[in-house]
Amino acid sequence: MLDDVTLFEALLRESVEGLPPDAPLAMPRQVLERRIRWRRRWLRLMVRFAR
Amino acid sequence: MEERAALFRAVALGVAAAVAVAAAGLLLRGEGTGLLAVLQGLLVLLATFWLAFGASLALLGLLPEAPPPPEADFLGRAVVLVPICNEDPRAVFARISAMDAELHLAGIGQQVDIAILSDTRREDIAAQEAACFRHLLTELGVIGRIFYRRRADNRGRKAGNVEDFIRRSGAAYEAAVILDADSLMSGHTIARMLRRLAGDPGLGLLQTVPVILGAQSRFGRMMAFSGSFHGPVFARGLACLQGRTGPFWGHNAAIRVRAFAESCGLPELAGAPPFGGHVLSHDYVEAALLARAGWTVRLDPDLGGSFEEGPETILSYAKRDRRWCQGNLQHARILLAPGMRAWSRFVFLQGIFAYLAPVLWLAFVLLSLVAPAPVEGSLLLAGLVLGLLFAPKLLVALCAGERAELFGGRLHLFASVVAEVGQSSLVAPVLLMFQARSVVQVLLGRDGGWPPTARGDGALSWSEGWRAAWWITLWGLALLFAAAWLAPALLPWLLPLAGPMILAPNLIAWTSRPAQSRLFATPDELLVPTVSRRTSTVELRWSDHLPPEPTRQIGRA
Repeated sequence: MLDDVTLFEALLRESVEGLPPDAPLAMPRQVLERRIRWRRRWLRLMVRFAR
Repeated sequence: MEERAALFRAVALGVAAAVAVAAAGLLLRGEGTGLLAVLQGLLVLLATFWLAFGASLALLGLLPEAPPPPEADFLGRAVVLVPICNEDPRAVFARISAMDAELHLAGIGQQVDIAILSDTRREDIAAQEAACFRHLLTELGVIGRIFYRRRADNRGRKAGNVEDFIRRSGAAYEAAVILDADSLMSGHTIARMLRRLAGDPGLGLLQTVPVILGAQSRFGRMMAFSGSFHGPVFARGLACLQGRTGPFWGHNAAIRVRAFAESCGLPELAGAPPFGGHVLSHDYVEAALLARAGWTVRLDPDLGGSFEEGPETILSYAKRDRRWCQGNLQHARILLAPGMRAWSRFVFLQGIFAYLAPVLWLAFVLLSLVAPAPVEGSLLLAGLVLGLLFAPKLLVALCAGERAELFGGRLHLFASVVAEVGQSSLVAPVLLMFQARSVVQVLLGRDGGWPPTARGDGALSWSEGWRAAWWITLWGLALLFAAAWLAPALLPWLLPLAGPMILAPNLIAWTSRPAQSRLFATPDELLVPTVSRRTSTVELRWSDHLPPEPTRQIGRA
């Protein structure tokens, strides 16, 4: 078991302060909602009909 | 696995649909021609379907257990993640100390790190967290294995907290065990979960069935007993249906970090809460996303050694339920998400109807006052509904076999089951009203946010019960008066619903008091798990060195 002083000297030396390791991992945002493309298509169709 | 699950799903859905059609048929019995009668029939059809589906889980859960899944040596590194937010620091860090000791005893102490992920906003609690962390490190004498970090911005709440860790540190680990602030797991269970992840390279997430520890009040003990006795059987039934698309309940589960990172980055939903913004019930969505990406999500009900705390009062239960209700109804936005597996969509639907069903029943009762169904049909329907509610519980008790000894013997178990049926019947109408109110609030666009969850809350007075539930009493009285005026024949059938509603403040106060009897004993109470005993010892030892917990206004991550 380390005493308080030894432990915190070690922590300071490594300047980690008990922080988790620096090992980044990408986490891409997922698609949850459908893009409503049909609205645009429907609008185009309506314009064509109107013409 | 998929074929077996497909067969069970077909059976469960078929039985539920048949029972629902029979219920609607019983009610109408040749008189279903008017608009109101058809509407009543539809309400009963929908509400009974979900009730029967739940009952079918119990029946499936009584089938012989499947053989245990494959295991292999876990050779990588893993981390136990403990997201916290304004919790009692001494209790949280005592649990961590106990779990760390358990990990060493299970022989995986050097392979598994622990990371406390704080989203605490209150500075006094944060200061105590730091003090407890230093104390823990000093006592255990470890450097570089137990970590603590506090986010400046608690964006995305718990899901965001875990995501932040994975983005910064995820590449260092093959697996992570996600806990809640009140979770406790035995080292042996964590070791088995890691071995099962190693034994199945396609497994993305492994969920355990947590049982409630340390309940004190009448309500808390009833919930703990129900979870401990009926819970595993229902969980086994659920596991029969899961195939590769099992559930995730947000904690007491192990994930393959790479799988989680590549599939579970949650976007914010367009628009404002309650239906837009952060995904509140993120766990269901993460399970569906893992399955969508081709990973297996599995519930293993045979894994014991998984514990949590539960709400001690009806009010704390209702408060938590308000958040879950909003989260589940928000899933309506995700029902048609591209690429989701059909069973994931069904699970979303089930979650939505878990909260809509009480509203459907209430609507049915109100319609019945205006247009009473034939007495014979109503009687048969009432019998069927009561059967669906209670028969599974009684059946589980009858099939308890040697399990009865773990609950204090057959006689004691029988008394607990009967008491649970009685007490839950009294509490159910009150919870139904709270759920119905939550649904109406969400549909009206009211965001419930992320309210603090009281832990270990004390007994409530009658006036506290009245302040929270006076409107339920009024509803109960109104129902009775309306029945007496419009449909007197319905009065006896409405009493089991309206009676507890009228007495809601009394029930809230009575069930919040400490239980005096030994009813509702659970195996983990009769033989306290080692990890729980260790936690108590550490807490007691630390009480001399660390300041008392801050004034309680406790929340959860």
